[in-house]
Order: sequence, then C-alpha cells, then structure tokens
Amino acid sequence: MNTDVPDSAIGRRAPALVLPRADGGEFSLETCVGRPMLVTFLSHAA
Amino acid sequence: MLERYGEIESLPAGVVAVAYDEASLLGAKMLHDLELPFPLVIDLARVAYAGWGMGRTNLLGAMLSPSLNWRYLRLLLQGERFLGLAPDMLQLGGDFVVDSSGRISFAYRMRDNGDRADVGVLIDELRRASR
Repeated sequence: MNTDVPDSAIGRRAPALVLPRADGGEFSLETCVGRPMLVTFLSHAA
Repeated sequence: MLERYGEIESLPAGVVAVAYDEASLLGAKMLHDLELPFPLVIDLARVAYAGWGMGRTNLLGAMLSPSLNWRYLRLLLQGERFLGLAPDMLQLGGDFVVDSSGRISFAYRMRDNGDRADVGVLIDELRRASR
C-alpha cells in the first residue's frame, strides 16, 4: 500500500491532515504544532 | 476514550477524530447521543486514511472477529442498542500520537474491526509526548 506512514513510522514527521470539520470550517494538524495530539481514525459508523 | 477524557484534558495535549462516513450517519449511529469534546473531521475520499496507512479488512475481520463480537456483546449487555450496519464495514482505523514537534511518537493501525489500541496506552503515550 502506498502510504506516508510505513510501519517504521515512529520518529517520522506526521503526514499532512487538512480536512473539513463536521461542525464547520477546516482543521489542519499543522496548526497544532507545539502541542502533542492524539489522532484517532474511526472505523465504520455502526 | 470518552470515559477517560478528563485524563487527556489534564495534559497539554489535544485530540482529533477522523471519520469517513457522512456526519449525519455518524450522528445517527456511532456518535448517537454523544457530544465530542474535540474536533471531528470528515475524510469522505479517505485520502488521509490512505496517507496515514489505514488498511481494510475482510468479512471475517469486519463481522466475524471474536474480539469484535465480544466487544459488541459487552456493549449490548451494558444497555447499548444495535444501530444497524454502516455502508462500508471494511475500512479500518487507527490511533497515532503526534508529538509537539509534529513527529509520530506512537502508531497503532487496526487489524480488524475489534482491534483498537488500549485507551490506557494512548493516554500514557500522550502523557509521555507531553513531557
């Protein structure tokens, strides 16, 4: 699979994450530099 | 994670959740009756899912995983109700901790739909990244 996060991801710069917010507006992980972040990718909605 | 969110709030750290379903479907199902105290972002095209290395499972991993079925059984026994199936049950998620310099300090990609990183581990990793 083509990915920016291989299994040896630890220590590497996180890939970009710029996405629309469910409550409006846009979120960019880049604006969180300086603060540790938990990025959690959900699986199916059910 | 929401049950222990207070521990995360006490850290100089943040949380963002990424979903690939429409916000309205999420509100009707997984996030029913829940108010998230952190941003939820929508990746309908799953570009971020692919870029961060999230994979897909198969029918066994999506529906027949013993760990997944045990998790659902526990939820039902706690009084949660079954909300039906979602359009795509095969997309997997994962959890990452990104440190204050923007580098990944923890990575856990699901191997099937019942396989998530332990919340205690996530909190410990966030705590470590917050030092």
